[in-house]
Amino acid sequence: MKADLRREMFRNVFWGVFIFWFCLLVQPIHAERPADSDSSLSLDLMITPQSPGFTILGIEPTSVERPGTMTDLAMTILNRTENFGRIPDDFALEFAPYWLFAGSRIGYQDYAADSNYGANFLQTLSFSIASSTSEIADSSTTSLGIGLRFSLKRGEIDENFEDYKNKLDSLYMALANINQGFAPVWQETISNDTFLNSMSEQFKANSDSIEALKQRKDHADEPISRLLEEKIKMHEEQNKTIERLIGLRESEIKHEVEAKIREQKAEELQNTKDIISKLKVRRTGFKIDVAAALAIDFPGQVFDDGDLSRWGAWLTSGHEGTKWSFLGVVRYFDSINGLSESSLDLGGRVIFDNIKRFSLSGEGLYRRLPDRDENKNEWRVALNFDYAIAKNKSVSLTFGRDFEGTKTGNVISLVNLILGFGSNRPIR
Amino acid sequence: MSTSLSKFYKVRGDDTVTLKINIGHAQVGTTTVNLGLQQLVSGHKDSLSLTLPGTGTDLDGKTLFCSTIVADVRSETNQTSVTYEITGGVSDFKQTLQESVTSNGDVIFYTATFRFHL
Repeated sequence: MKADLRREMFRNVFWGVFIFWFCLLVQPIHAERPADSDSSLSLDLMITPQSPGFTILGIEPTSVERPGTMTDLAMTILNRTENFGRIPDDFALEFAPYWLFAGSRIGYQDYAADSNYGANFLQTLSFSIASSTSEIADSSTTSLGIGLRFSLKRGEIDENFEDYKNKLDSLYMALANINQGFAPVWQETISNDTFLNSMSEQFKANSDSIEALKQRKDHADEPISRLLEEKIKMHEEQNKTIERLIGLRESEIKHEVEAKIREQKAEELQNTKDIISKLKVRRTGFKIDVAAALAIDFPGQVFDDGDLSRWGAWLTSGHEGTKWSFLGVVRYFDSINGLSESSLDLGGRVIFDNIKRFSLSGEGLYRRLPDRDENKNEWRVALNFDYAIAKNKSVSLTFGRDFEGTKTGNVISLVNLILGFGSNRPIR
Repeated sequence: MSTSLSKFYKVRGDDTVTLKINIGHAQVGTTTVNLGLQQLVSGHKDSLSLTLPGTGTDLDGKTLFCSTIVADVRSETNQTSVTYEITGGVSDFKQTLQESVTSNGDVIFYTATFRFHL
């Protein structure tokens, strides 16, 4: 048995090293999956899940709806639930309410800083909702997962990391240059537009009339006062129309000038895009992430038979520095329907990230299983070696001992390849 | 969704007027502000707040031109927004313009004009 295990381990390590070096040599390889797919769901137990609503169901949705506005959110929910008439099948939705309600209030500086607990909570709060259908006990069961996630401390954006500040300054400069080309042309066109000028004069004349009429009205008797009031209203209505017409004309001018500038400054605009694609955000400092999720099963897809089947909560906290990071995690998973075991995980991870492309981390995780008769708790240790083969491609090699009880043995030897499609934004 | 705003703003003779421009959704941008031919701000990074020169009487008949270019730097969203706020006149004014970019890293041009009158 031990010899089989050794052979299996040797085989895994051999293929792992082979694939690793193959990836180094063949960098422009095509991706197997987009960077957006979250491999951490199955591989990384130490990180608070980005979408706990999906994690609690054990699914990795290929398509997640992320509405950008409140209207989009309402339409998504109404459409997918057929006006709250049914639970949708295989549905995944994720949204951050504060960004939907008050995104226009969040300036870049508020976002870049590690603000107070309240601001961090509001800016990072997100909900994830998913449903999946499976066959349980010869019956089609729809499971609904609902999760939330937030950070109380998130660290500040590290301005020295990968030349972030200089790249941002270059971006500001490029934007200012484009604006310098646009603003004078736009302003001159508006200032010299005869329609706008005549409308403005008309507005001014109406406003003067309104003031004069108001003064007369203050000293006028009842029937005259009413007539003057009607005249005032008429002028005010005219001014509203003028303001609307001016708005339309200015919008037209803006689009015309913008189209010309976009053509003239195509190279500079492409340059801004290139800079943005190279901006790599890393937050350093003290971090506290919290997540929780619950799953409700609907056997036979009958709403009234819905029952809470399991729930889980995650707390991750630690300090991320420029070279060393320390992370602790507490995770509780409670299985109410008895289909899986309840567990309490306590663990820690140390990450050394000194060299530009390499990072090395070690982790240990202790698992307490309260449902077992014997107090047979489990543990896991792993070493992870990560190498960025290009700006949006990375490969990681994990080796260690997994929890007990897996049929294939508990040696961990995994090679995980993450390749980004369609964007040059770094993923590591 | 709109990216252009035009407003007549009624001022009071002796009072000063304050303009605030907030670039939202944690995106980055730069702003240029001119009062008629007088340049007040050029290439200002992110959000700004400024008191306009002179009183309402000085501003009467003049136009304030605000031009902001916002870049989508956040991979989490394609939304961009700019909120304009003017205070110090007969009534306060606040309006948010919002638009989303079609692809990551694109820029949106936002413009606003305020015509002052007594």
